[in-house]
Parts: sequence; C-alpha cells; structure tokens
Amino acid sequence: MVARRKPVIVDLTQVEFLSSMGVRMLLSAAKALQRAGVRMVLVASGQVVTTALTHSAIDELIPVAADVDGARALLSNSKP
Amino acid sequence: MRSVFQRSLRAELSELPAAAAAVREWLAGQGVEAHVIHAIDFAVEELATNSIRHALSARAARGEELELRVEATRDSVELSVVDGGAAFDPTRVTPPAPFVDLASAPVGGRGLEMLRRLTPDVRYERVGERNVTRVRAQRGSTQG
Repeated sequence: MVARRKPVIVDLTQVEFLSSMGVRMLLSAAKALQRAGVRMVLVASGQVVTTALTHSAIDELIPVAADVDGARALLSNSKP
Repeated sequence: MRSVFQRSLRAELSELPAAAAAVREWLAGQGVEAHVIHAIDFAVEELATNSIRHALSARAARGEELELRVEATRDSVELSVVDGGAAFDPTRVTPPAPFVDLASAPVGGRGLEMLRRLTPDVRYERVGERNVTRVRAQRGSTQG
C-alpha cells in the first residue's frame, strides 16, 4: 500500500505584491509538486493578488480558494 | 499640478527594492490613490527587471545605470524607465500562448502580459542609444 502524499496549501492572504517573479516561483513549485504526485492549492483573497493570478493566467493551472477552509474543500472534492 | 520624481540606480536587481520603495513613498506623498501606486510599482518592478536582465545584462558590471522618472498630474501618473542597453521594445513582445496544462506550462514570460493587462498604456521609443519605455496609469477610477 502506498501512502498518499499530503497536498500543499499556499496561503497568499498576507501577500501585498505579486510580480511575474512571484508567479514564476508559484508555477515552478506547482510543477515540481505535480511531478512528485502532490497537489497544490492557492489561497488568495486580496484584489492585488487575485488580479495578478488572473492576469498571469496561472489561476487556470493552479486551483485558487478564498480561504484555507475553501482550499481544504477543493482538495477533498477533487481526485488527485 | 505637475510633479516629477527622478532616480537613477545601478543596473543590478539588488538595487530595485529601495528604488521601488522611493517611488511608492513619493507617490503616496503626492496623494496618489493606492491602486495607482500599485500599478506604477508593478510597472517599475517589471520594466526595471527587464532592463537589468536583458537590455543591460552585459553592462551591469561596468556600472551602467538606469533611470526612473515619474510624473504625476491630477489626471494620471506616468512612469518612464530609461536604459542605455541594447534596443528592446517591450510592446513588440508576442503575448504568451495560452496554457494547456501544468506539466507543459513554461514558468516564465508572463511579466509583460501582466503589465499590459494591469496598465494597457505602454509605449516605447528608442531615443539615440537609449530605450525609453513609458507606462501611464489614469487616476481617479478604481481600475489602474
């Protein structure tokens, strides 16, 4: 039996600025985790960060929830 | 009302946080709205990073500088980023292809697209041996 790896929740709610360099970091992390069979979900609520996620289109690749409970719900509802 | 702020910095990424903070502080002192300050701050970060990494990359060791100029009026804030590096027109960079899936997604190349979507008014001129890139954010509305 293989233990399922725990997913990763990245909480960006205290982040005040997200440039393309931050987007690159998040995308690199999500890709590396996916290769290791680990899911990653972002938590973002502020306008600055949600706008950056939308404008970079990485919200199409990495699920985004408005709070940590929402992120847990996304992870429990979706298959790896 | 027309106020101007100028600052030169060495073409090194480590110089950028202090320069960006000085721009933010100056804009706040001019009573500029928070969302406009953010739009200009974002443009400073993306354009200066581009200048340092691409246009000036080979010259940084020689102490090359770039210049930030910010002009605030009642209606708008305009940022100019001036560097003496190789010609580079950010307005002619092809927008990135849509993502297909996470595994195939390139990690970089989103900066100029993010800038254009946040602040569509981006203009470029080659003036003599210099790149001059200008970004204008309108004041007053809730969108930059």
